[in-house]
Amino acid sequence: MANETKKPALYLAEYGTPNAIARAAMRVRDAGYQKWDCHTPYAMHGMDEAMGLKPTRIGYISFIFGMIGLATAVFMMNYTNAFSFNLLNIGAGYPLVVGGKPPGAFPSMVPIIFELGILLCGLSTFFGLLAIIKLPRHNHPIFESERFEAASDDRFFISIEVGDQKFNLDGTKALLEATDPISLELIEEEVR
Amino acid sequence: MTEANKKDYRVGNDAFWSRAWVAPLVLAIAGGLVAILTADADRLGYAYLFGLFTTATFMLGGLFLVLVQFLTASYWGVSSRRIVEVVMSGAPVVALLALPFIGGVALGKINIYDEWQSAAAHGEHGDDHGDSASESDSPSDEHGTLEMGASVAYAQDHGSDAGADETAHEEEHAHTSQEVALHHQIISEKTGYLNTNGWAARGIGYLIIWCLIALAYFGWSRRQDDDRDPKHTLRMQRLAAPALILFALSLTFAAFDWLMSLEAAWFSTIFGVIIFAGSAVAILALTILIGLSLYKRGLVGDAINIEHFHDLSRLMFGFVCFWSYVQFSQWMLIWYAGIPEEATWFHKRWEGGWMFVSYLLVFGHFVAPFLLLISRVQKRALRWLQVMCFWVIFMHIVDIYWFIMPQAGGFQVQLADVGALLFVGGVFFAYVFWQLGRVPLLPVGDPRLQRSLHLHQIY
Repeated sequence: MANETKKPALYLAEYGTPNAIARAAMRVRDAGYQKWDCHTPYAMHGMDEAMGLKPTRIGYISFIFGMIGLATAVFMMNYTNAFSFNLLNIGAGYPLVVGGKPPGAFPSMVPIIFELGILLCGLSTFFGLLAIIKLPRHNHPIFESERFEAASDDRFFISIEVGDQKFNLDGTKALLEATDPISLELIEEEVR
Repeated sequence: MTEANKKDYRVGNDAFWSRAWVAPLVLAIAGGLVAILTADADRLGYAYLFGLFTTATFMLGGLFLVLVQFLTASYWGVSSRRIVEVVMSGAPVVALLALPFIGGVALGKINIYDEWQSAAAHGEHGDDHGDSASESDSPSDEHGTLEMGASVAYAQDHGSDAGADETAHEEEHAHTSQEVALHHQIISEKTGYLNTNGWAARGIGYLIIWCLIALAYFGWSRRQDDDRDPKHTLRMQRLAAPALILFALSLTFAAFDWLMSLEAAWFSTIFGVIIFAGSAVAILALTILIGLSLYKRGLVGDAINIEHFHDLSRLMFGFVCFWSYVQFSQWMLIWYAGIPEEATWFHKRWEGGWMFVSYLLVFGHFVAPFLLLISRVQKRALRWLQVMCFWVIFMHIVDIYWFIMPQAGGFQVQLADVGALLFVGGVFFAYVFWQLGRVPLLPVGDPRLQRSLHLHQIY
């Protein structure tokens, strides 16, 4: 342990009440920090505003991929079943008559268009969410703190990461101290 | 608005809402006069049914929305629930307006259900299947709607271009007679259910169910305004499940009796669900519109705010998709099977100028609202939402029109249709707006109101 080098990773401020963390969050927000977060034992209404969070972009990802799924299904079925054009010299589609309907009957394609649209929409929402919240990851320096265990019990925490452009050891510390936390610690991580 | 107005959440002497009931009443009188003066007796039956059923769907949607909120003990919609309750409380008005219709059909004054009524009457006089099939030498007598040229049986019988297949040409006539016989067999087998007395009795039954549920729930909610007793909420929650079952059955069978039986031989089990989906869309759009107006005029303070409109519009968006899903499912299955007896109904909604209306429903009732309401930004832009709600209600009216009017012939909007809609809808909404002026605009005694006021949407 002794000869390991450490560098600061984040400040962790602890609060006892939801009101205290909401007031503190507004001050951190107004100070212009970006890479910071609040950790509360339960979902707090209004926290998104107090933190100045922007609306999530996951909806756009879902929508775009849903439309891609839709277009893929339309193209795929028209290419394989309906029209005998030869794309990129990989072989022509074969017009099929199914159920006495003409090749490329649009209504019979709708369920598949719908399904593929939903499939890509759902998968892109799931994986897009993982990408946005940067999961999976193995560890986070915040778990170095023993006090932080109370974040799933009865305490409220604000963490400000070193990576933030506004971060500096003294200024950030002063900002957090001004919000009257129960405790304030500088978490360090090992340098590999 | 004055401080007093904000405190008691009433319309009070607001310039618009205190007099809002006058406009629908004037429209009702004008519409009624236009309908009576311009319509022939045949068209008036269809037109009145159109007006009546369109109006009833708003009330039925309200019934559903109130019951389902109690069933789920939800709090998000408590502050906007009074608007829905007031629309729902118009059930007796719908019942009063339905009585002349039911009476007219029962007494033979309205003959839009002739196809099964005559079959049922024959059955009572001892005619059996064979007889009614042999009568089909003159099919135009039996088919009240054949002269419109929309039925598949008719097309195969008379239109040589429709059956130009040379191999089947010789058998064509025999085949068609078989189908006509089948057509009559289906109708005569239905007469145990589809007969005038049963139809009228069931119709009155539906109206009684709707009135009972609506008046009971509205009454309890009003009593809670005064005594603030949570026991009312508990009672309404307990009764919500059985009431919803009654509601679902009565709405489904009302749709069967009043709309589906216009085409006596046709049947579709999902029919009632489509009507229900449309009703839910209609009431949600109407609630948003009334709520927006009350909100903008400062009558409800901040009690119904953007968060509630966002919730209501999300639910409306969901039901728009649900409507599309069930409408498409019904059409898709019938299209894929391609059985003439089933396809007849959609054939009538394709020929005679109706194709345009069918496409209008696809794009106007699904594609446009889907793309124009899908984003959070669109739902929270209240002005935009208002325009979309007007559009969705218009499309709902087109939807019901599309269910009824093709049975009367080719596409032609007549003054009588508009007049009948204005008459029934006008009387109904005159009552609803008048009622809205009498009661608090929030369920002020509801124990969940406080939570509803602080509704907040998480991203």
